[in-house]
Amino acid sequence: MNILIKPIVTEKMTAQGESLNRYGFIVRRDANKQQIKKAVEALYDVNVAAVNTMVYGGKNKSRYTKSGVISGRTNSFKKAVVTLAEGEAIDFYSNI
Amino acid sequence: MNITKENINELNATITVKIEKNDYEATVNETLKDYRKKVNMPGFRPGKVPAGLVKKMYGKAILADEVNKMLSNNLSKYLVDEKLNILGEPLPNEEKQATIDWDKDEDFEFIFDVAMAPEIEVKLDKRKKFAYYNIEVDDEMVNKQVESYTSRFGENVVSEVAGEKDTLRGDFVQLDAEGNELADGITAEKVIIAIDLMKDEAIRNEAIGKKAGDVLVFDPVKAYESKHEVGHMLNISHEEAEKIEGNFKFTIAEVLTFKAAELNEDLFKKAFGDDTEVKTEEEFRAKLKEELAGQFVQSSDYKFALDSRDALVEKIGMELPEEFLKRWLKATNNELTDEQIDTEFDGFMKDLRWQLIKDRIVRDNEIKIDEADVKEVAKQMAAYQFSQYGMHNVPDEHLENYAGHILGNEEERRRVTQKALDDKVLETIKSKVALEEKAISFDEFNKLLEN
Repeated sequence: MNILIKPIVTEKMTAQGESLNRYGFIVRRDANKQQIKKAVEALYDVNVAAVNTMVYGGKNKSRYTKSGVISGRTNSFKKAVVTLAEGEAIDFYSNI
Repeated sequence: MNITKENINELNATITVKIEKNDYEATVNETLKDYRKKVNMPGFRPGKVPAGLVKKMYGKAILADEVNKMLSNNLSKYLVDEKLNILGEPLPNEEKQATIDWDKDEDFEFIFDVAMAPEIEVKLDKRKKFAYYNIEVDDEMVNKQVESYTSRFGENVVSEVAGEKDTLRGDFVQLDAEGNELADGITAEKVIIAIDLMKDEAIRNEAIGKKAGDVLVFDPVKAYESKHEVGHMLNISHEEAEKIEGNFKFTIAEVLTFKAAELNEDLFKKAFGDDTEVKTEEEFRAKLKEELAGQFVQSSDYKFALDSRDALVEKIGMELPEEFLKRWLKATNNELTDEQIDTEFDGFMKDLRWQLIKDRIVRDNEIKIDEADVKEVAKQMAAYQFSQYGMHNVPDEHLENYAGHILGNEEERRRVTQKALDDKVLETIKSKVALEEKAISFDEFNKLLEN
């Protein structure tokens, strides 16, 4: 399975990308920073300056409906914030 | 940014404009940033669209736009700075211009063809002779003018016996076949009929010599040969007029003779306003003569303008880059076909030559047009328009108003300015060359104009 699961495309990450040259990805739980760095460099043809990772825990979510309470759980995931070398950029919209 | 000029020959040149990345980059980025704040895209809140996306969508258009703007600005600036006197406008060179790839190219090169105005010399001195035609005002013209004034202010006077050119006022009553008045026939009161307009001779002869109170029996349709006219005369509708036939009885109430106004102070006052200085017939005639002469001066000037223009254009030979001008005409006037250009090209060239000569004269003699000149011409035009309606003594403030009105219109203003300049150029030519004054009658002058 791939190290990088999907990029994080949100207003928050877009703003960081433009001002700080940082891009966010959801990555495999067991991937380490070295692997993430290599994967990003290979996929987007850029140089990575730093990788910060964090693991988000899943949460219990319950909803009240007519036919009783539905309860479930959101996924937990590992998130990596990748800082690129100066002057480089990743274009998530290149195929539009 | 790098602009270079290469002369092909005296009349043609190419201008190469190189635009490099750092020339346009800053402005393009600035515009993109501006765009980003405004652009509205589904899926994003306004102002939150990623920069890359905006660039992808609008970057090329903005780049082309900026480069284009930069190009035209710098090119015109270059033309002004280098004081290049070009004809028409620069046109893109069709052969050397490489196609531009807006995606990949970072430096752009544009090649333009320009046509240079030839250096000409306009020498105006007394050795050049031009005919200037003074149109003579002869007595016949003055007489005609006097006549038109007297008849304009003339009036109808009641007289005894109807003459050939008189008019009759009276009442119409329709008659039946036997000559009796029709009870429900058409009647009309106080109708004025003109004897000299009657087409039928027998009826006309009968009418001549009638007095007030006399009765005239005739068929008006036969007399005037027009049912339409008769309809108006009897004050009935067109449909009814189509149907009328038979005789009418016309009872004459009065006979009117047209009497031209007498040449006296009353007439002079009516013609030229109450405070006129014209008191006697001689003065009146002199004044008319002066007016006519004033009108003819304009015609003389006009003829002189045409003549001097033709002569100068012919005398001062110059070479023009015809090939380029044809191309330019075609490029700027899309609706012109090749044939039209071919047929009108000679006229266009003549205009262009004259324009160049005029520019040269303006430069040589340092002719300048200021606001006062323009205003003066506008006032003259206003006065001329008023005088066409027969208003000769229009107060200055009216003229001023009207002139202001004319100048308010942008197009009119340009025309007036052009005219002011033309007038000055003409005056300069007139003062610099030798004038050969020739007296000529009006008819002969008209013949000259027609040729």
